[in-house]
Parts: sequence; C-alpha cells; structure tokens
Amino acid sequence: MEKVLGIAYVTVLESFRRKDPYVVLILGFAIVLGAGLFNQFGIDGLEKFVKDVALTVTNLLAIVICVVAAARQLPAEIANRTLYPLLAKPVSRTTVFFGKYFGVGIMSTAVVLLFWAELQVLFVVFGISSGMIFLQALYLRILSMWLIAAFVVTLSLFLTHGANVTVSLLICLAMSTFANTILAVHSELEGVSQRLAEAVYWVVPHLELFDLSKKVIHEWPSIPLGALAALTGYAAVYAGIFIALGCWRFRRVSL
Amino acid sequence: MRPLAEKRGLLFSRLFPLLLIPGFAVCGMLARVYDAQVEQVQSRFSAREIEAARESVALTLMGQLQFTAHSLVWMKTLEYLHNGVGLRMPTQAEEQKGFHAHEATDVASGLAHRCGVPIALNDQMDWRGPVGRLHRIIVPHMEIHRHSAPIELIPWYQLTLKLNPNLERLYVLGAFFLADFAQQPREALDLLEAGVKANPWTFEVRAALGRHLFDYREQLKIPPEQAYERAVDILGEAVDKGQKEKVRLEKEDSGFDDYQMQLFSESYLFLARSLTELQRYEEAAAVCNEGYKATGYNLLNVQKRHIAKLAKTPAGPE
Repeated sequence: MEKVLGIAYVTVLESFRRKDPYVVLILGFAIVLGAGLFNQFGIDGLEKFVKDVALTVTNLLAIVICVVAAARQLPAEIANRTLYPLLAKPVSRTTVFFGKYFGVGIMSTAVVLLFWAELQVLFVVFGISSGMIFLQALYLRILSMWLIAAFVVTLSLFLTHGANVTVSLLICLAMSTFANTILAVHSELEGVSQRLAEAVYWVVPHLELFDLSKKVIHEWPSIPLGALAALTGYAAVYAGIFIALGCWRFRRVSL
Repeated sequence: MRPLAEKRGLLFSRLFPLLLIPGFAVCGMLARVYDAQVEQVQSRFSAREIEAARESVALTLMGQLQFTAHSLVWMKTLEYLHNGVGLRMPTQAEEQKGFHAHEATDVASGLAHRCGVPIALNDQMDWRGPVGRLHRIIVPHMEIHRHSAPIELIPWYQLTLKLNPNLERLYVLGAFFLADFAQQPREALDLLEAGVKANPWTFEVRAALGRHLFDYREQLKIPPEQAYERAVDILGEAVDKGQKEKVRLEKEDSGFDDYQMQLFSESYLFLARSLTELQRYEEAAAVCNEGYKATGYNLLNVQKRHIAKLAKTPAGPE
C-alpha cells in the first residue's frame, strides 16, 4: 500500500508540476465571468441561470481534466522509458497501475473540490442557496471521477492516446444521450435487436446516473441516502471490473 | 548575465500580449461608431442584391447555424418551464401502451405547447427495474405534469433574441414575463421597442407594445394623454399590418394561429380603449365595429356599449 501511495503521490505531484491545478483555477475564473454574463440581462432572481452555467461548465471541465490526466499516465511512462527504472525496483506492475489510478483519482477529486469551492464562493456572492442536494451532487461527481479514472487508465492500455481521449470523452459526455436514445427506441424494437439494445445498455457504465446538476439547478429536494449508497456500490463494481481488466492487460503488455 | 538587448527583447515579448487590450478597446469603439452607418448601408441593398444574398451558400449556412443555435436555446427554455424535467415525444409503440403527449393547459397563452413524456420512463413502462428507479431519483422526473414560474425563461429568451432577433413571439412573451412576473415594465418596454426596430413588418410586437403602454402607463410614469396617444399610433399600425398579414396568409391558404388571433383582436380592443380614454368616441366606436367584423371578438361589443354610455354623458369618463 505504501508503494501504491508513493506512486500516487508522484502522479499528483507531476500534475501540479504540469500546472494542471492552475489551469483549473483559470478555467474557474472563466466560469465566474461566464456566469456574470447574465448581469447583461439586468434581471433579478436568476439563480437557476447562474447555477446552470456554472455547473455545466464545471462538470465539463472536470471530466475533460480527469480524462486527459488519466489517458497520459501509462502511455507517457512507457514512451519516456521512465517505467523501466520504476519496474527495476521491487514494484509490481499491478502496484504501478494502482498507484497511477489512485494518483489520477486523488488529482481529479482535488480538481472537483477546487471547482466546487469556486462555485460555492460564486453562489455566496450572488446570494444563491445551494442546500444539501449540492453536497450530494459533489459526492456523486467525485465518485464519477474515480470511475472515469479507472475506465480511462484501463482503456489507455488498449488504444492509442488520441483514440483513448476521443472515445473516453465521447462516452463520458454523450452517455446520457446514448442511454436516453436506447430508452426511447426500446419499445419500437423487437426480438434480437431489442435484446441487443438491452445488452448494450447493461454493459456500458452509466455516468449520467452520477449527475445531479439538474436537480441542483432546479432546486429539487435532496435524494435518499439509499440511492447514494446504491450508486457508490455501482461505481465500485464498475471501477473494480475496469481495474481488474487493466491490471490483467498491464501484466501482459510487452514493454 | 544576459545582454541588455536580449533582456529588452524578452520583456517586449512578455508585454506584447498587453498591447492587444487597447487594440480590442479601439475595435469595440469603432464598432459602436459605425453601427448606425451599417444600418444605413443595409437599406441601400437592391432587390437583386438581396436575392443574390439569399442564394449564397455561406449565408445559408450562417442562417442554419443561427437557426440551430436558437433552437437549442428554445429547448433550454422548455426545460426550465418543466423544472428541469427532460421531455421527449412518445414513440408509436409507447402511445399504443397509453404513454401519450398532451397539450399544456396551465401556461400563459402564447406559451401553449404539446408536452412530451419524461425521458426517464415511468414505473409501468420501465424495463430496467431498480436501475430505472435509481434513474428516476437522479434526474428530475414528474408523474403529474407541472410548469414553473416563467421568470426563469427571461434570460433564455433574451439570449435567443440575441441569436435570432426575428423571433417576434419571444419579444411579446419576454416582455409579458418581464412586466407581469418580474415587475420590470421599463425593461419590457425597451424589449418591445427593440422588437419593433428589428422587425419593422411586425404586427405582433406592435400589438404587445400598444397594450403595454396602455396597461403600464402609471408604472412607466408616462403622462396619460401621451401614453394613450402613443398607444393609438402603435396599435393603429398593428391593426394595419395585422390586416395585411392576414390577407397574405389567406392567399397562401393559411391563417393566424390562436395567439396571433388573440393579439390581432386585442389590437382593435386596446386601440378602441385608448381612443375612448382620449374621448375620441366616434373613432373608438368605428374601431369596435371594424374589429368585430374582422375578428368576431366579443369584448369589442362590450367596449362599444361602454363608449355609447360615455358619449351620452356630457362630462365624459370619470
């Protein structure tokens, strides 16, 4: 575990050295400016509009940063040949994989927390109440980051860097549309095509289930804790499957 | 030690982006200065030039882009109207199973729309069991169809109008929400005036503007006579342009939709009421007659009786 945390620490440190967190802060500033656009309209009581702009941009950027960071970890280590001295030490490939995964997970969590701290400041400035649902949305967003990290780090062992980033971003950002399309057309399908649609629905990870932004924006009440627990289990199962697949692949990949 | 020239070069390359700021400022000022002149130039286009522009591929693409952008924003306004609940039209198979879309009945006229079914299926239709239940907990979902207060739609309407300033209906609805729900009649007046400026042919926006001047004259702090005079001018234009529009649509085997019909009828009514306030009873009665003939709007008859009563009273209205 100590070795895993050591590699994770180096991964987070590398992200800081690459100035990823600064990018986050600058983008966060852009969000504040973007949300400030509504001032042009000169209308009071537009909390939903501010929340909508801020949450949409925040979620989008958090996902992009997580995907980009996760996708470069192992391919960069292999391409720069920095993986060899690491593996020369008494460190297994599984440990390296877990270390990288935890590093990306911790970094992405920090990014989400930074963003949401900025959002909280924005909401306080504009006198917008956020409530318990805001914290629940934060928890689910962090949970989704760990799932995305597992998915993207694993995929980086199967695809090239560019393909991985493209496929991962498509899956992360368009999953809601994709799942809703299956739901809409399901009743029109019959026989094998219906079974196929259902199979696809069950196999892909449903990241849209971790997005409470709409409820935060439109001030819905908080969701039951049982749902949060179910989603934690859902994320753990999917992340576990991806990590197992990634470790298996990483052990077999020729360096 | 770096040579001085190199240091200067380095300093200049770092400060160079700052030079862009005054550049942007100058561009912004120039745009403001030349805005009015651009308007004049537009009116100098000949019919042939306009026809050529209509056939331009680039302009067609720009138009499509504009249409797509405002459609997306329009979809956003519907999402706000439904408290964030995502809706879609049901498929044929779903309709056969009793999963229907229905007309919205609890919204202001002009916002009438056909409400779809929630994206997260209901308990009977859902084949996903516990995952379906989880989905309904996570995304906004409603079993009973409800609409939100339309104040939240205002910024989206304004954004849509920035993307496409020719959406006459949005000026009318936006102004109605601004004045009625947000209690900002001055901003509503500005929006309607901008609508008339951007759409010189419009009868819808003129009808709303005339009525707005009549209804909100006190809040707008416009002297009564001045407000009614302005309303008469604008509503007169609204009636005139409405008649032309009606004829044009009838030639195309079409006609006004319900909301246009309501605005057209109200143009006559508020024109008659404004004339009544100005004690021009004969003209007001004539407008009532003409309006009733054109629209069959009952309130015009009521107004006509009211005018007859006032005309008999020597002192005029109280």
